[in-house]
Amino acid sequence: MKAIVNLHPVLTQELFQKIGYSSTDYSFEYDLPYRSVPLFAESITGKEHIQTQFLLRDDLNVWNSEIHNLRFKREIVIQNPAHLFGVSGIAGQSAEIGVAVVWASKPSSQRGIFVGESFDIHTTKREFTVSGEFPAGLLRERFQLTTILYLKKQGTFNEEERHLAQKPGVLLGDLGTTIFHLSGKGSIFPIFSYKENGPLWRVECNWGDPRTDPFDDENVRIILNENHPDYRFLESTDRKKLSPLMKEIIASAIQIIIEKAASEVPLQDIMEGTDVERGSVCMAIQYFIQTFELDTSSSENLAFSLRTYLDRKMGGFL
Amino acid sequence: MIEWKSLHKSELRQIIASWTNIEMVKWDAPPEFEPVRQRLLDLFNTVKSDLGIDTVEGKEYQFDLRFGIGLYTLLKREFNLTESKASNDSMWIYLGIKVIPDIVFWRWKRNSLEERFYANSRRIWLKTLWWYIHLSWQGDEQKTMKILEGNTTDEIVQLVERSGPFGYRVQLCRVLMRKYGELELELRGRGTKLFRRAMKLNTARLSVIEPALYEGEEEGYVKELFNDLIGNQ
Repeated sequence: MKAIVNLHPVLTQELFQKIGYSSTDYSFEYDLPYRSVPLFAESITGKEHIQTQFLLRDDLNVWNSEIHNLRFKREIVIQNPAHLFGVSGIAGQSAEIGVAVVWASKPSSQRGIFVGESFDIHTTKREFTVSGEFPAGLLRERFQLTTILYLKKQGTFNEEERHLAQKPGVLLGDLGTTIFHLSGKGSIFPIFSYKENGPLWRVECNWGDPRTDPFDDENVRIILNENHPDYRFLESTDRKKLSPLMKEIIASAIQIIIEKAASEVPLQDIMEGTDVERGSVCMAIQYFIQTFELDTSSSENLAFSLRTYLDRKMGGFL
Repeated sequence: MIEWKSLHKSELRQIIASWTNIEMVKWDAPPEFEPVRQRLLDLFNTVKSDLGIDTVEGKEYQFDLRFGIGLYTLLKREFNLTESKASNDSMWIYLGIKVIPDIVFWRWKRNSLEERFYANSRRIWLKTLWWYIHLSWQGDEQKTMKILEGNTTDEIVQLVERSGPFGYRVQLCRVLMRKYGELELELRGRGTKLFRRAMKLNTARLSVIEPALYEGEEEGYVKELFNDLIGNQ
C-alpha cells in the first residue's frame, strides 16, 4: 500500500502571526417569505470567556431548523499572504490557496464543506469570504464550523518546494472551530423535554464505559416531562436565571451521574484522569468536581456542595 | 404529525425479553400509526413474495436491500423524513419496538435483538437500512437498486458503521457507492474484500484530504481511491 500521510508543513503559530490573520465572527440568517432574518450567536452562560460555543438566537422566535434554512458568512483577513507561499511557507510560489469552512453536525450524523474565495501570491485582496447554506431538515441540536486553508491548485512543481503540499485538496491550516447550538436552554448540559407519562424528570445514564464514552446527549441526559402539571414551574421569569425547581433537578441529576460513575470507576482514577479519555463522562465529572468545588467525601456533603455552588452561580452553570 | 415517543431503556429491555417467539411479538402503538404499519406490512409481504421466501436465511441482503429501499421512499414520501430526524435514535426505536416489531423479529430472530432494536445506535436495524439507502441514493429507486444489487450485508455494515467522528460526507458516500457498484463483480467478490479495503484507505486519506476540495472533487477522489486499490492487488 502506498504511504498516504503527507508530512507537509501546515500553518504554525509562528506563521500565523507573520501573516497578520484576523477574522469577523460568523454571521447567520434564514429566509422567510419576502425577507431574510438575521440570527444572533449568543455566548453560552458561563462560557463567555472561551468564545467557541454559542447559541443561535432568533429575535422573532420563528426559526426552526426543520422548517427553515440557515445561511452563514464569514470574512477572514490575511494581511501578508505572501508568507504562505514558497520554501518557508505552506504552499509553492505558484500555488493557489483556498479558504473553506468544514461543517459537521454529530447529532445529525453528517458533515460537509463550503468552498470560499482563494488567493495566490499575486492577489492584492486581503479579505476573503466564505459562505454557505444549510437546507431545512439537515441540522439537529448543534453543529460546528471550522475555517481552513487548503491547497486549491498546485502550480508549477519546483524541486526546492518538494517538501510542501502538492496535492489539491490537502489541508494546509486550521483557523479554529466554533460550535453553535440550535436550541437548548443556553447551557451545554444535555437537557431535553419530551411529552411522556410519568414523573416530572428523569436522568438517563446510558454509557457503557464512563472512561471512554463521551459526555454527550447519547450517554447522559436529563429528560423533562412536558406533560407533567409541574412542568410550568421549571421556567424562570428571567432568561438568565434558573428557576429554583430547575436548580434542584440539576443538583440531583449531577449527584446521580457522579455517584453512578464513581460506582464503576474509582473516584481517584476520575480525579487523576487515569485511563480517562478527553471528553468522556469521567472527564466531565472531574471538571464538575474541580470547577464547582464539590465535596465528594459523602453523599450528604456532595448534595450540600452542589447546592452551594448552584446558589452562588445563580444563572446557567456550565 | 405523528409524534415518536421516546422510551426508557429499562422498558425496552423488558419488552424484548418477553419476546421468546414470534407469536409473542405484538405491535403496540396508538391508532394513528396503523396506516404506517399497514404500508410497511404490505411492503414486507411484497418483498417476501418477490424473493419467494418465508424465512430470511440465505437471502438476508436481498431482503434488506428491497425492504430498505421501500422503507426509505415510504418514509420520505409519507412523513417527509429529514436527515436530522433520521439521525435521532428515538424515532427508529419506536418504529421498531412499537410499530413493526414482528418484521424486525422475523429478520433477526433472537440474534442480538437488543442491538437491532435499540441498544447500539449504529446497529438499530431500521436506522441502518435507512442510512444505507440514503448514503447510496442515486436519485431514484431503480438507479439505487442497480448499483446496490451485487453487494452483501458486509457493505451495509462497512458503509454505515464508518461514519467517522463527525458524521457522514453524504456526497462522497454516494459517489463511492456508485463507483463501487459499477466495478465488475469479480473485482469486488468476497475474496478481495475490496469494499473494506476501500473504506479503510478512505478513512486514512480523509485525515489529510477533503474529497470535495480534491481535483475533480468527489468523483476524482473516489476514482483514484479505487485505482490505487485495484492497481495494487
